[in-house]
Parts: sequence; structure tokens; C-alpha cells
Amino acid sequence: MSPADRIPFPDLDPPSGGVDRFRMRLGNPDDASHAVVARWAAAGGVMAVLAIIAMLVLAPPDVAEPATTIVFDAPEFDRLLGRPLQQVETTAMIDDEPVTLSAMPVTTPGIRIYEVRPN
Amino acid sequence: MSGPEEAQWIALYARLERRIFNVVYRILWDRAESQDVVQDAFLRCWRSRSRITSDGLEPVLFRTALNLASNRRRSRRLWRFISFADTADEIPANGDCDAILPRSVDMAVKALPEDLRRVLLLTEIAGMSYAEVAATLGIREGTVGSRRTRAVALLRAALDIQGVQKT
Repeated sequence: MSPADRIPFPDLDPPSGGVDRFRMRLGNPDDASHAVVARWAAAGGVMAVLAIIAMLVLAPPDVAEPATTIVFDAPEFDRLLGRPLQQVETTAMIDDEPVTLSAMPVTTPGIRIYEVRPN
Repeated sequence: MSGPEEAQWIALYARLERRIFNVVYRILWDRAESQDVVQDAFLRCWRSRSRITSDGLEPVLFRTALNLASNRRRSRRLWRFISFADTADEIPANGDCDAILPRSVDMAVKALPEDLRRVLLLTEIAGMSYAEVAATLGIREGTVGSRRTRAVALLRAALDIQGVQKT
């Protein structure tokens, strides 16, 4: 590099007393970077608080299964969606006695057969 | 801690403080903080002195100081972000820079990419040879030369744009 190519940076004086301070710190090296560690610890605390707030604000609410899922899982939609028919049970009263009606698989369109079982 | 060894390190500090301070100052732009970094670099190397050879001590000191200064600069930016303060990397208005170094040169140096700035500071301010800079930064001498050329070109271009006359 040629002298003409040099950038003329002024030579600055460091703050006075640096050697004495270094001598003192050399006798107690543990004091180094305490301020930096403290600042990072504080920064970590602030970041943790921010993260908790963000989680509370941004987290989706704890909701039950969406209604659409319930509707489309309903046996009434089996035929509409071309799914195999589910076994449907319902309760009815026959001679004032509760009975369970279970739909039986039937291949003939328009015909339903139920099994009747006393409860 | 042995007395003579401690005395040697204090003498080393007295010899190198000014050079390292001048380099670190162009990263932090704060006199007190720059001196802290210089001392922290010496203390770190003092603690690791058993693993450092005397030949490699000076490059390690400069490299440690550069890394500490960069870390402080990053943490300063993080603090400004957290505190929602102005994120601009302002030159302190305490008169230091304005009185000693032309403000436009400061701004041009600040605008340099980190890798170019390190090379420029070590060659121009620390007065290191390409070989010494290569040893300090762990890069090849050819890379030092090309980075310095690019840094100087960018600096001159920035100063031309700002209308600063070469003296």
C-alpha cells in the first residue's frame, strides 16, 4: 500500500488512568464484564416477559371440535357422502317400555329394518 | 498470580492500549466504552495466557477486542430495540468526534461492511502489515489486500458523494 493511498485517521488519546485501572482489575479479574452479564441477564428477563405476553396474546383459544366436523361425521350424511352406513341406535317407547332400535344393513333402497332390543 | 508476570502484562497494556483503543473506538464511537473493551480483552487473554504463545499474543488481543466491540455494538442495538428507542447508530454528540475526526469520515467508516471495516481499521489505525492483519483475523493476506482495496474505494466514493475534498 502506498502512503498516498492511506486514509488519514487521527490518533486519539485513550481516557487517562487506563494503566492504573487495568492494574487494579488485573488484581481482581472477576470484575470483568460484570456489567455486560448484568445487562444480558436483564435483557433475558425482558425477553422472557415479552415471550409470555406474546404467547398469551397470540395463542389460539382452546376450542372444542369444530361444528363442521360434527355435522359431517353424523350418520345422516353417510348416504349423501357415499360412505358406508354407520350402525345407528336410537331409543323408543313400546308399550311404555324403553327399547333400543338398531338399524340393520339393508341393500334395498327405501326399506329400513330395525332390531328391537329391550333396555 | 506471579508479580513479574503481572508487571509484564501491565507493560504490554501500556504499550498496546493506544493502538487497540483507536481501533475499537471506530467501532463503538464511545471513549469510555472503548477503554472498557480494551481492558476486557486484556483480562480475557490474561485468564487464557497459558494457551497463548507470546508470538500470537498481539493478534489474539486485537481479535478479542474486535469481537468484544462487535458484541457490545450488537447488544447496544438490541437494547435500543427492546426499549423502542431510536435505532439509528448515532455518533455521540459529546464533541469527541466533531472535534477530532471529520464527521463525514466517521459516517463513511460506519457505513462499511464489518469485514471491510476490520481490515481497514487494522491496517490504517493499528498500522498492521497485511501479514499481521491476516494472522489477527484468520484470513489470507490476499484477502486482506482485496478487502482493504474495496474498503478504501467505498470510503473514497462515500466521501466524494458527501463532497469532502481530499486534503
